Amino acid sequence: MLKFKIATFNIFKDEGDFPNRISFIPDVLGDIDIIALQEDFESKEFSSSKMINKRFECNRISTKTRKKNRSGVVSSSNLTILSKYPINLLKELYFAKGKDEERACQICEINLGKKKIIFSNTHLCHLSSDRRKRHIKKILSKLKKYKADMYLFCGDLNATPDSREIQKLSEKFYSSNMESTYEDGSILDYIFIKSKDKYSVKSITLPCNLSDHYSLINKITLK
Amino acid sequence: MDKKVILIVGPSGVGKDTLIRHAKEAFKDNGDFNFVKRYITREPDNNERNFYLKKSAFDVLDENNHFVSKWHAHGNSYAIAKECIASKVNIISISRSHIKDFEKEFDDVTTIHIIIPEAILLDRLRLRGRESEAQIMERIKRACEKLEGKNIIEFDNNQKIEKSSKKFVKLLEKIANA
Repeated sequence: MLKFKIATFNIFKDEGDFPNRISFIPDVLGDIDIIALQEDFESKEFSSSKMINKRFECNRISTKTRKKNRSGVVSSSNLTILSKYPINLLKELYFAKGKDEERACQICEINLGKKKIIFSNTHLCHLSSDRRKRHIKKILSKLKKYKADMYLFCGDLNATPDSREIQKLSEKFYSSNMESTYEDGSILDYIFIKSKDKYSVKSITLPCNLSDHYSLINKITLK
Repeated sequence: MDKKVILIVGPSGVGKDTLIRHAKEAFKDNGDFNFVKRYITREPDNNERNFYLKKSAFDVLDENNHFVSKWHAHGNSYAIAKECIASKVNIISISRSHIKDFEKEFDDVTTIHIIIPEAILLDRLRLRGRESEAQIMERIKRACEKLEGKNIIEFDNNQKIEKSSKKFVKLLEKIANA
């Protein structure tokens, strides 16, 4: 039996009380095995995930995306996975690369003892349901190519549970969270799970002042 | 600006929430003031901007050392998170028994103790009709106990709300500028 904790958290680029608030993120998350971050700010001078990882000392894989000038500083709003377990980047997918609406997805293989997990982290666009649907379809078709004991599809999907894209995703994957993950009370962030093996999952969201999103944590037991 | 903390304490029924609501309105365009949100384990109240969460989530944040102070009242858990205290003048409504939590953590802490005459408080609590006579008397007894803290200012709220609110806002400004 394998027990592990994963989290997904959109950390709000350089907004709010930045960068002070970033130093509090490890306190909120606590002891987590794998963390999927979105809107991970990175400039020449500062990286949010590097600061967070000073505490966790995890393996870190970052996908640079959405590079532009923010408040006078050229920066990117990256996708980053921090993992206590060995992690290997399999694929970086880009949608509308180089354009304003650029989005990405990182697909990694994580080995937890004898179990292999395919872990994807994405931040989908807020502009169109059709576009999110297309992007989810592309991600799923990539995930299919990799064999694993468990598939995890995490991130800020910018869609509520009643949307067509989330309904469609829910046909193949399981998400246990029923609590809001965004400051307006909606659910936009997900940890979707798929496995042929038996598993159980406990979900929790942690509201806080550190981002406009709340961190979503799943405690998974894989049998 | 350094972190300045102003704690608002006083027994239930003394008018803390009303004074704070007026102060929020008075300082709505003043970026120097931070009205700190509380973590509360009850159903969301649309009239108050707090973090409403499940007890299990509250316990995780507590285990992760996220709170500077926590207390229990009326079957719910309440807490203030360290990260909610900004480099501003932070106004925080707390339980009177937790002043020391903040004095340990922060250098610049002032406590405003809201008071009204005992007879008026008794009338107000009875009028609300939320508690038994025994519970009300227990509250009155607690209200009379001496507060433990380093820098406590008593604020008499026994005036018309308009007058009292103005006086309260002036007091906050005075502490902020001290």
